[in-house]
Amino acid sequence: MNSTKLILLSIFFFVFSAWANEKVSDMSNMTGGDSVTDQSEFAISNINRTLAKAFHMFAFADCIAALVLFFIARRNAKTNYTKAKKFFLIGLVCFVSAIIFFLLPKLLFLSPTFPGNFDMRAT
Amino acid sequence: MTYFLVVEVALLFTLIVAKIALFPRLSLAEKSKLLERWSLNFSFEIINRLLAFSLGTLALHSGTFEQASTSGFYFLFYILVLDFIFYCRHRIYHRWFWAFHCTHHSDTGYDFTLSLRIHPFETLVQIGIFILVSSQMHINHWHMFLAAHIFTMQALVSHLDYRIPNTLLLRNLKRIFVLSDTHRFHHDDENPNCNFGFLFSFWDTFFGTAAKGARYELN
Repeated sequence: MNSTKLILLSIFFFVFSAWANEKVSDMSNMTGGDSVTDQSEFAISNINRTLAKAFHMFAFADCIAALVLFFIARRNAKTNYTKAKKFFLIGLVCFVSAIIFFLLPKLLFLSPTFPGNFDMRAT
Repeated sequence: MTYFLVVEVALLFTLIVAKIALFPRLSLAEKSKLLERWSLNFSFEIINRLLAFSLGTLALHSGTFEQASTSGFYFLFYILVLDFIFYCRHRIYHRWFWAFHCTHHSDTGYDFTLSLRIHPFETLVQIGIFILVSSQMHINHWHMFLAAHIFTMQALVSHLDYRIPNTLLLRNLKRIFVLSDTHRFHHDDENPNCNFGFLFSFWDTFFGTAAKGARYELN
């Protein structure tokens, strides 16, 4: 790599970033910034939290199952294509269901409007 | 995050269906080879996603991203900085960390699943870079998700095995962005030390690592 160009570019990035950072800090002080901690789960009922955890655990188990199925598919790909294809497709289904089970709690149990949860907007 | 993940998965599965629709054209030996490659590449994807979600969640809950910028211009600069770091990282991998990066280059085929074939060590480094740069630059956590989404989509697009039309617009676009045929040149055994760019191709032009000669012709 052309080291002179690299050094010059790094200095440019550093200077620009430092300048922009100063501006950002000023802005954050004025507006209060955008906090991740705003996404509190205190209004979610215990049962719904447990259900969400169960869904996440199921998603994790699905990931492990998909890994095992892909491994079997890979082992059989050269010797028995039909069997390997079957395992691969089931593995894909597991992968998709893992994603669905990972995302669903956010839309259902962890949503303030879900039955059992306390809706802050009602106050 | 839900939206980003859904879009990424939808694109991934559209590509799978598109490729499966072309399966009848392949011989049994080719299908077996494809299945073998895809099984391994998807396994890497699952491991890497698990790593990314665990570490990403940890970083978010550590409160690293509290005072953050919402400026669109600053976000573009952030993308530029990240891509420059990824360019340097890619060159470093080829020179000193080939033991890890060879996982990505060891695939016998070339299609979008190659973008999933990443060694978990590389994923850890990638997440580390994202968290470090984002926290140092005071990036809004949604902007960080958007950047991760853009880079994931770009990884998929740059590993596509479809022919790119040789139009004036695309030729000019290739001067700025990395397209699939540009990146395929990098995966060619005869040209291992060129076209290291991830999103922008001008880093290669600037540092003299752009491939010279005719554009890569896909079979």
